Amino acid sequence: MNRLVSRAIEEFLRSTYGEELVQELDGTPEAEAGVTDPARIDVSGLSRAGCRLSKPLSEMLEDMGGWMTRIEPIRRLLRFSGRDFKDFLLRLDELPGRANLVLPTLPVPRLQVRTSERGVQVMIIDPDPKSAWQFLLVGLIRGMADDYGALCLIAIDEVSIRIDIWDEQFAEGRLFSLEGASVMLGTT
Amino acid sequence: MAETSCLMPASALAQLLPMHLWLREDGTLISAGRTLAKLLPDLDDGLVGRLSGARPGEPSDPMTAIRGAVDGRRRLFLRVEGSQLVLRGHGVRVAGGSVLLNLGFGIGLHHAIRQAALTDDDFAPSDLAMELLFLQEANRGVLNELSRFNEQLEQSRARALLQAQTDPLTGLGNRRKLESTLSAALKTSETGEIRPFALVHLDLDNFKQVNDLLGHQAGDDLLRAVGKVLRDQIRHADTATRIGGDEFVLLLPGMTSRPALKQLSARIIGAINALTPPELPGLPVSTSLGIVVWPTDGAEHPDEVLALADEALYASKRSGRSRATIR
Repeated sequence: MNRLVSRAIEEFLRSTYGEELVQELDGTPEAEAGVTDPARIDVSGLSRAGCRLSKPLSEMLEDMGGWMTRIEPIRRLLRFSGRDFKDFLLRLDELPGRANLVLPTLPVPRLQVRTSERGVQVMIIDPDPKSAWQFLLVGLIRGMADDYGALCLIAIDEVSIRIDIWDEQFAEGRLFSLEGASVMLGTT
Repeated sequence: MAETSCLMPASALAQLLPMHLWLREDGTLISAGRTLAKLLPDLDDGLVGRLSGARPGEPSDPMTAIRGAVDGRRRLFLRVEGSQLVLRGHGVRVAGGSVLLNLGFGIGLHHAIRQAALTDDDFAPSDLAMELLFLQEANRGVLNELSRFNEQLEQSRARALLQAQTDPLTGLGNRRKLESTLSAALKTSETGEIRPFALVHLDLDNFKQVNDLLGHQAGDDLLRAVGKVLRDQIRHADTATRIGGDEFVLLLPGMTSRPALKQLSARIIGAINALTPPELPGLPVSTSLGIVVWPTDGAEHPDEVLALADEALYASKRSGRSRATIR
């Protein structure tokens, strides 16, 4: 499981910061340590890259969430989960189920969705203080708002993400047809 | 289209069941669900030529197939003419002998989506079509990644195997490599034939004094140079190994000619002699060889063949070193 996660991280770093950084991080002794907790996704590769780039881990995670929405096969999987941005948000509580349908051992926290005055509040249930999911989700949601062409404001507190939607049809969203893409995961 | 089913008006039906087909007893259309209408826009003009019975051995006339399935309470299979798509479903009799069918795409979902450019909105929420598509694309992505990992594992395994059978100092094979090659050589070929070979066991004469007088670095250099000599002297199909210290073993498939083995031995002895460090006082470096030509009586196991070669080697040592004994 963790190999899939580290490969995703590696691909993100490669396409955002270039091969050089990936090689550099590969050579650090921490890269070899490899003590991982199966109940948590291992984002140590991202924190090492963050140190090297003087960027906080939270920012790295957000960027990676956004990057994921631009990888066509992943974007398609996310678009399957909602016909418009609001629908996508309201059905975010299906995300762990969808993820585990394909990757049964991927540790995804349960999500609870509530509607608020202007939009939606996503609560992360049993939050793990060291969990990477909150920031990753923020990046993912922001990326999908662009994808659907919605204008929204995203704010976070300790255990939840609040999304205020200002305009669902702010811009023309990217095209999505059910007829499958032949692009494979990880090819950018 | 003023007809009303016993439950609801046709418009409500079209909304609830996007894949329904409601037909009068004579086969004319009362209403069709909007997704079905997207796929077959001209159903108003009649079913024939657009749908046909798809059950093997049953009539292809659509109305005959439909009546048969509805009245026999069987599943209904209807082919969309001019495509690979087979709709499946079931039906009931409703008001006035009319027939209400609810159809689905089954495994042909992808054809339907391509043919009619269907979207999320075309499926009833209770339909698992979207989940099926999601699962299929997700699985494809993951499988693709897994096969990548598999390839990487296979490559690492091959690398590890090579490493595990290589002597890091000389780059020749090690004892493990000799054991596996020798075991394989002792087996008969696929056609049951015995495949003869020669096994050459050699160790260096006066190697200890190189180590003692000139240091271990000089000793290692000498071993590396011997490795190169052996590699240069053997053929592509032969195997050269260092099995420990200054002991080397060559395995030469098909080599049974004693004169050729004598020549080879002489070349090896000469080349190793020439490796004597000029600053080495006393006796020059050389090598003694013990050679077994297999098949030979009473040696079927690798250890037995090696023991025979070892005996031959010690015969060379006893009779004055720097020579080969072939048995």
